[in-house]
This record gives sequence, C-alpha cells and structure tokens, in this order.
Amino acid sequence: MRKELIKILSASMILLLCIALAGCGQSPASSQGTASEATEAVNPGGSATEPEPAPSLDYPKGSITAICPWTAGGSSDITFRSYLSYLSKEIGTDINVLNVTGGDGSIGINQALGMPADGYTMAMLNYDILSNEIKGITEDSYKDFAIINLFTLQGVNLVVNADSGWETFEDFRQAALAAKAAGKTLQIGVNGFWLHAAGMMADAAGIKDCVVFVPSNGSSELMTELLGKHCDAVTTSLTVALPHLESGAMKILGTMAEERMPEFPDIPTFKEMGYPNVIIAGFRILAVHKDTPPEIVDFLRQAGKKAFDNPEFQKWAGDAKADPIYMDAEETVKYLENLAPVVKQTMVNLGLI
Amino acid sequence: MGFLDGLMTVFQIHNLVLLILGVVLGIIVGAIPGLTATLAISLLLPFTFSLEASTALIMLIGIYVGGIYGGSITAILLRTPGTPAAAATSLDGYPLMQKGQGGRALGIATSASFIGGQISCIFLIFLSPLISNFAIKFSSAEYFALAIFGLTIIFSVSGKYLLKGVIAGLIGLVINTVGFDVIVAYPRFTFGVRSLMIGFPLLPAIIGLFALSELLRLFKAGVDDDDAIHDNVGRILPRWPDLRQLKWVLLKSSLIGTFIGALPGAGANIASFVAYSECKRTSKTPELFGKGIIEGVAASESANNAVTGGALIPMLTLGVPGDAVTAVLLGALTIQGLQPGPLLFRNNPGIINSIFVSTIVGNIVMLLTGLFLAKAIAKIAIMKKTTLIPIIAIFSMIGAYAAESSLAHMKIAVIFGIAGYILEQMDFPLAPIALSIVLGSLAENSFRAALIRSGGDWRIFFHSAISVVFLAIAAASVFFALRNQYKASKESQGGASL
Repeated sequence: MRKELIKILSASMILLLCIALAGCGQSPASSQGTASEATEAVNPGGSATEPEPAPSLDYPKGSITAICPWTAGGSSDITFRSYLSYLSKEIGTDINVLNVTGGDGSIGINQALGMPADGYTMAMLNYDILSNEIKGITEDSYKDFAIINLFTLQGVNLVVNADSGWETFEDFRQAALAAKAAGKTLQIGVNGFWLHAAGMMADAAGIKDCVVFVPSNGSSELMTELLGKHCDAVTTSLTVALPHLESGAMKILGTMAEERMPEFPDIPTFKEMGYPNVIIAGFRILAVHKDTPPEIVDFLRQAGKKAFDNPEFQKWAGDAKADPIYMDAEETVKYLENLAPVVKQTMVNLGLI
Repeated sequence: MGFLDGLMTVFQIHNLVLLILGVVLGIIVGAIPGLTATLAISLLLPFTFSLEASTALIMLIGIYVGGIYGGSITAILLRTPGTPAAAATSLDGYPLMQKGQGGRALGIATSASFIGGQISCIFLIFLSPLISNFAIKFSSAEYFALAIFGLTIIFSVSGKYLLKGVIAGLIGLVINTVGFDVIVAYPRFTFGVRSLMIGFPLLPAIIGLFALSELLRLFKAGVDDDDAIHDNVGRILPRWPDLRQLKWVLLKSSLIGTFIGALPGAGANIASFVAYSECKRTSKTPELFGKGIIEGVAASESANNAVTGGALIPMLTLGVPGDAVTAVLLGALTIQGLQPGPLLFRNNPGIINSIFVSTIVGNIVMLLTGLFLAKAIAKIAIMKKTTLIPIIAIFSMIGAYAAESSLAHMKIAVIFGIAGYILEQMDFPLAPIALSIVLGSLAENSFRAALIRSGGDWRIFFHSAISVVFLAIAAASVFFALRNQYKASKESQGGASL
C-alpha cells in the first residue's frame, strides 16, 4: 500500500510540475511585476506632464489576461509579449498572454469579447479583424473594442531574388507583361494577408492577369520558395526577408509602406513610383472590450504610451525589426476606418468575396 | 579551432548545468502526453530572454533533444505517445511492453534516439550546405509527392485488415478537411459552429485516438485481471546482440530522419512514420510489425531524434525552420538579436559551434538520463489499474487542454477517444487515421498550391525528378501491398480447402 502511495505522490509531483510549467509560460512579465512596483514607489510617475489617474481608480487589482490570436513563438506573439512586458511594468501588475488560435484570428477575438468588460482581458487586433468581418466569417469588429493604441506597423515589400535581373518594379512589370504575351505567368508567393498586398499591387500596376498568386503555409516557407526559384517574387515583411537581404541573395523592388524604410532608404515606395493606392501594412493593436469603464481605458492608454516610449522596448523592437510605430486610439480608429473600404475593394478584385 | 571554442563554451559550468536541466526537463515534458517539445520550448522561451545568447540556445537545444525522446517513454509503457512524434513508437513499443519486454523496448528506444541524434549531428556539422541546397528544391509538387509517399504507409501499418486500414486513412483525410482552409482563408464544414473553426488539431486527436481509447479498453477489461503486464519493465540497458541486429535499421532510419528533418514543412511526426514503414517494407518479417518487434521501435525512435540535427540544418544555413520546434528556435535567435541564415556562419561562428557541441553533448546527456530516468518514469506505469486509469485520464485531459488552455481541445480528445475505441472494437486500425491527420493537410495544400501554380495543369507533378521518384515509390508500394494481400488471401483460402 505504501508503495502505491509513493507512486501516486510521484505522479502528482510530475503533474504539478507540468501545470507549473504551463502556468509560467503564460506569464513572461511575472518576474518583473514586483520589481517595477518597487521602482514605481521610489520614483512615482515617470513624467510630470502626464496627468496621473484619479486616485479613486481601483484598477488593476489582480493580473490581466491578454489574448494573442496567433500561436506561441510566432513573430506576432513575440512582439506582443515583449510590448506587454513593458506595459506590465507601467501598470504594476502581471499580464498573462493566452494564445487562442484558429480561424485566422477570429477565435481568439471572439473569446476576448466574451469576457467581462472590466479591463482584465486584453486582445491584440491584426489585419484579419478587418478581412474576417468583411468576409462574413465573424460579426466581431474592431468597433466592438476600445482601442488602447497601435504599437507596430510593418509595411509589405515586394521581394525578388538578387539574380533575377530586375532592378526596378518597372522591370518586373515589363517581365510580367512579356510573360503574358508569351502565354505564361509570373508567380508571386503569398500567404495570409500578403495575398491582399500582392493583389492590390498587381491590380494597380495592370498586371493582374499576368501573375499567379501561389499560396504557402507560412512566411518561412515563402523564403524557401523564392530561394529555390519556385516563385518569381514574394510579398512579405522585412522581418523574414532581412537575413537574405543582408546576405545579398534577395532584394526589394518596392515597399508598400507609407514612407521609405529607415533600414533601406534607397528602396522606393509604390506611392513614389506612381501607385498612390498601393499602401498596405500589417499592424498590431492593443485593445479592450468597448464597454470597459472609461477611466480604466484612459489609464491603460497612458500606460500604453509610456510602455511604447520605454527606451528598452524601442531598442528591442529596433533590433527585432518589428517596426515600432505608435498611434493613439483616435488615430488608430481613423486608420482602420480608412483601411476597411480598401481591404474590401481588394478582396472584391481578388474574387475573395 | 572554432569547434574547440564551442566545446569550451558548452563545458562552462553554468552552461553545462542548464544543458542537463534542459534535457531532463525536455524528457519530462515530452513524456507527458500532449506536451510536445514545441510547447516545452515555447513555454520556457521567456525564461531565456535574460540569458546570454549562447547559454539560452544551449538550454533550448537540450529541451529539444530531450523533448523529442521523452515521448517514447509513455508511448511504450502506456501506449500514450508523449508527443505525436512517438506515435509510431507505440505501434511496436506497447506490444513489447505487454509481452513483458518494456525495459528492452525502452533501452532500444533510448539508444536508438541517441544514435539517430548523433548521426544527424554529423550531418548537421559536415553537410549543412549540401542538404540545404537540396531542401530548397522542394516546392508544392514535391511536397505533394512526399505526402502521397507517406500516405502509402497506410498500406503497411494496417496489418491484415487492409481495406479497413484504407477506410481508416480516408476517415483521417475527411477529418482533415474540417476547419479553416488556409489557402482561401475560409471555414469549411463548420456548419456555422464556431468551435469547429479550429478543425480537429493533431494533438488532441492523437491523445484521444491512442490514450483515451486505450483507457476505455482498460476500463472494459475490468480492474480484476492480473497486473502482471505492468509489473515487468525489466532491464533497460540494451543488450549488445540487440543493437548489433539493429545496426542497419538504425543507420537507415537515422538517415531518413535527418533528411526529412532537413525538409522545411516535415518534422518528427512524419519522419518516424516514414522510417517505420520503410523498415517494415524492407523487413524479412513484415508480419511481425505491430505485434511487438524491436526493429519497429528502433526505426521510429532513431528517425524522430535524427530530425533534431536535420531540422537545424535549414534553420541555421537558410534561416528556414525544418519543423515546428526549430520555428520557435528561430524566434529565439531573433529575440537574442541574431539573424539566422547564411550570415550567421560568418558573423557568429561562436554561436554556431556552441549549437553543434550542445547538440552532441545533449544527446549524450539524454542517453544517460534516459537509461537512468526511464526506470523512474516507468514506475508510473507499474501501477494497479485503479491507479493507472485515473492518471492516464488526467494526463490526457491536461495534455489536450494545456497547449491552448482550451476546453474545445479537451472535447475533441474525448470525441476521438470514443470514436477510436469503437473503431478499434470493429478491427479498424487507428494508426492510419493518425497518419492521414498528420499528412493530410500537407497533401491537400501542396496539391492545390501546385495546381494554382500550373494553372490547373496536372503535369506539374511530373516535372521534377524528386516528385516522380516519390510518386513511383508510392505506386510501387501500393502495388506490392496489394499483391501480398492477394497472395495471402489466396494462401489462406488454399489452406482452408486443404
């Protein structure tokens, strides 16, 4: 009997360990929480200009859950966790990231909206919040959220092999037209919302029927497709392509960002090249349920700005090429309002809706 | 010289301690059904943020090596593969356990993992550039051919019920179509039910099929029958004649594992099944597979651990991960401010060398802890059924839940458990279902991508030598499986008439 007991005990120890592991993984900020509270006490309020939240605000009392609609370890997840670790220092409580994946992000968003609007559940909104609603996959919209702020905005780039012989986008466009005349097509590797970017670009440049958009399973697979010359070009973010750009294996023909990238000041934007509508970027937005009490939303917005301005976050985001860009709630909503019809039109053009 | 530097780095006391800790943690997490090496690394990643780059990577590599191996322990002892990669191990490991040769199976699994890991390390170190050049030749048509080749394994894991095996495989393929279609980003067969949007993810499906169905079987068998099966793990240290008998199986499976690991998009799950089937295909006694044969355990385990070195090849040389775990490792490198890819070799040779050395040392640590710790973990299995059943139940449900903290995943595991139990009662083999869930989406997505690429021209599948070879082997193996079946049925008819 005693032997059995020891076995049960050892089994439950392992079980406990596994639960502890699972728990720890979700709280990257936990170790920093208490330390920052201590510094907060020594040096109350980072800057004097910002109004302090009303002393009556009884928030946050416990830890906060932040829903990431993408898998753990991906670039969105990593960036989100990093930003939240600095936000957690500002508000002096733990923020536990919960990865709720599936349905192109719609499952996680839906779960976030199902939680009480008390400021203890946050969510990350991405491009798919627009496309999923337009497609009718979900009724959830960015309008169901109170935006805290936008913290990264990554322009999409058209990337080709360095030995493709194309120096400019015009070369690429001519090659596409020539391929069409020869009864062929150029192949552009895409995945996820980068399909929209490629479609928007091809449409504006009048080469829509000269190219084929080849789907792939992920951005890293896109790189192999291009390196193996299975595709003529890919649309992708800087993060994935950077090592190949630096090694000289690939080059960018144009960026769909609003302005030229600081890392590559010589790469023209599509806007400059005469395609003013080809502006598309992947964004990451922190938001809470729209019915969250306004004083909590205000408190989080101030903390969100401070976290973004934290030089440590800026250094991290710079090193990781995560394109840190800040937009406050008002700017973000305006940005989304302008983007929604563009997304819809792109999807109509691509025949997706 | 660089290699010696790597050796010095890894043998610094704090690095070595973290490496051993990583391997042991990896084995434990890997052994817990449902917690995969990917998950272990994702969960521990935040703790490595504050560490130095090389130290962080040494620890993560340790977890990787341990995690892939750990799954085999519970696969053999409980028929509950700790990770999907060990599903093929349980096909023969568990029957061996039932025969009272659990220790032998564990010893073989441990040393096979070690050998697979070390062989792939050699490839990692010496042949990185070569393999990575070959890997980028794979595109959608080649992946489709690879997936079809993999799916023909159904014909060899189905045992005597060939038709039922094929039906089970088709069930798996149909299951795969439910959920979110990644190519047009639209839900399929969800009937408006939101929780169906995630489809039937691999992890809970496998836990349900293998662990929960076994639970139901144990339940039905009753608690009164003898516990002799579980009392006999025996000596774990493998015997020399066993290993000598397995040398070609080990070598071949390690090569298969390294190669499949190096392909982006195919990982340990696929490698173990491919090696298992290849071993069975070329065996003189294919009929013994699935009934407890050490070759089966050795093939599966050496292949899935060979994936570790293989998968690191494209990650380090191309910046393209070879499987899900290395995708997370890639994230870890980026967090540390290192850019994986061709430049890593030029700019950070120190990191590369410590990765090489820690893979080798990690494998040695795994061998030693495996031979030592497996017995400790084995103790869990040597329990009365009244204790064992609830523990399997708890572990399985936690495993299904843990990855995404999702109740929907638990429900999926339960549904698959019940379905798996019923199917098994009707003599449907379960391995083909698991296999087609693993390979189905690769087959479908690459098929569609290839046809989009060619504008609907099916000849794209015959354009490259790689896809032609895979398709030809697939066709040949179906032909031989059918011929054997035909012969066997003719013989049995002849036998009956005599």
